[in-house]
Amino acid sequence: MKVPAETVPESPAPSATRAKTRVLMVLLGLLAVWPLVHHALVLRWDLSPWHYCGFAMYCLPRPRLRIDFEGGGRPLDATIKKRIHPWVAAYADKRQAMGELAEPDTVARAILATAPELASFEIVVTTFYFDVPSASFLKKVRRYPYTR
Amino acid sequence: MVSTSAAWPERLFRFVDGGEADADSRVGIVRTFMMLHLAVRFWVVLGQGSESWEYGFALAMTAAAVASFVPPVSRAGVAVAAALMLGMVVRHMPTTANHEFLELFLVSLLAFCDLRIAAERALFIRTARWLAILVLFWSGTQKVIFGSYFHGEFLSFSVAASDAFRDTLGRLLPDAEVARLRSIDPFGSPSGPFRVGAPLFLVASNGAYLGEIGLSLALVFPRTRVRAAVGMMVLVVLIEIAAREVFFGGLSMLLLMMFVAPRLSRRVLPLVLVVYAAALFSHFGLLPDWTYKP
Repeated sequence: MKVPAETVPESPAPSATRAKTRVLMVLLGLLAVWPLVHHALVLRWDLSPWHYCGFAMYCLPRPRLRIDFEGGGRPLDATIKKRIHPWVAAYADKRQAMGELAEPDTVARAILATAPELASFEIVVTTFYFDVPSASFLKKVRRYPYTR
Repeated sequence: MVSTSAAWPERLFRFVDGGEADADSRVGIVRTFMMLHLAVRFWVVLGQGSESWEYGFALAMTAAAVASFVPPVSRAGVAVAAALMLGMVVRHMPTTANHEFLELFLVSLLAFCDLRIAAERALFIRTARWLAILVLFWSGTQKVIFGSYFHGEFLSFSVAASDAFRDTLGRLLPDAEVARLRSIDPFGSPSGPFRVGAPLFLVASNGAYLGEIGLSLALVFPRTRVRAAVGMMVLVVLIEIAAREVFFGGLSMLLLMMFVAPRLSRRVLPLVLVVYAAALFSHFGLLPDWTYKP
């Protein structure tokens, strides 16, 4: 299984190889320290250990999410919830990967478009995250208020 | 051979050199593996919700893989594959999986290095070896930093949440412990504890990161390199029996093949390809369904 015999360039252009060597050394150098930066981002913003090349897959369970909506102190109407479901599902995926760096603005826009009578509402994101010291899932609630 | 005149970063970079005599075969095997891997992977990610562009990508990747075996257009085939992989990575943002980044890095490296030139074949092997060492080293080290393996925390959760883990690692736990773990409601508050005391389970849990860190460091040194690569291949197989990430396991095998003699890679390659074929046929209903993660 050898590399197909193509025409080998007459001059191997060692300067090009040297330049490529430097590029790859820089890339590997960045990759060597990136997991430490990634770890800091996981701790600070709940970034997913499973994503973004931190190579921390299988370190923590993916957090479970619950996304609720409250308008005027009451849960949002079921019909509206059904209509905004595609935006909520997309946001849930994004939130699992990006943690608190992902704000639910797209969901809010969908609610505003679907329920023109709603003046203000809150999107409540409950994250069930894995706490290593207690080896248990704990709950963290973050509320995002929106007004028209 | 490490040049003494080079600056220390380059000397370090070249520290993993070796086996240049059969570099042609090593690179050939890896290129064959990588292109088949991508061709299969682009098909198995397709499902009911897939859009027409995704089918187009899969077709184009298959064409690129075929082209990579045709000498006059092989470099163009690899370059197109790299471009398609970049498209896939961008399209899946922000939920792009780590193995997609790894695939992008590897196929781009194949396209970036002119493999007709001996110095660039060596550069490819050197870079791929460091990539393997870094990925494996950090996979183990992150488990230590997160601290979720010392008392079997993560694997206890996995036994609770996954049938595949229950049927494999769960055998190292008493039945009552498995039943307790599986009865925990992950949406309870608090929900746990996912921690066990079974000695064999703890050996497996702590052995996972010790194996990854120890073997990745052993890959650096010429004297221990081949044994470490074979040991790591065994560890990857054991992990994938539970995790069933067939294609991530395949990628790991591909990286480890950079460290072993081509004659060993030629024995491993058909086994991996049989698993890939089974995954592909199973995906299209030509074989019974079996659980794996694409």
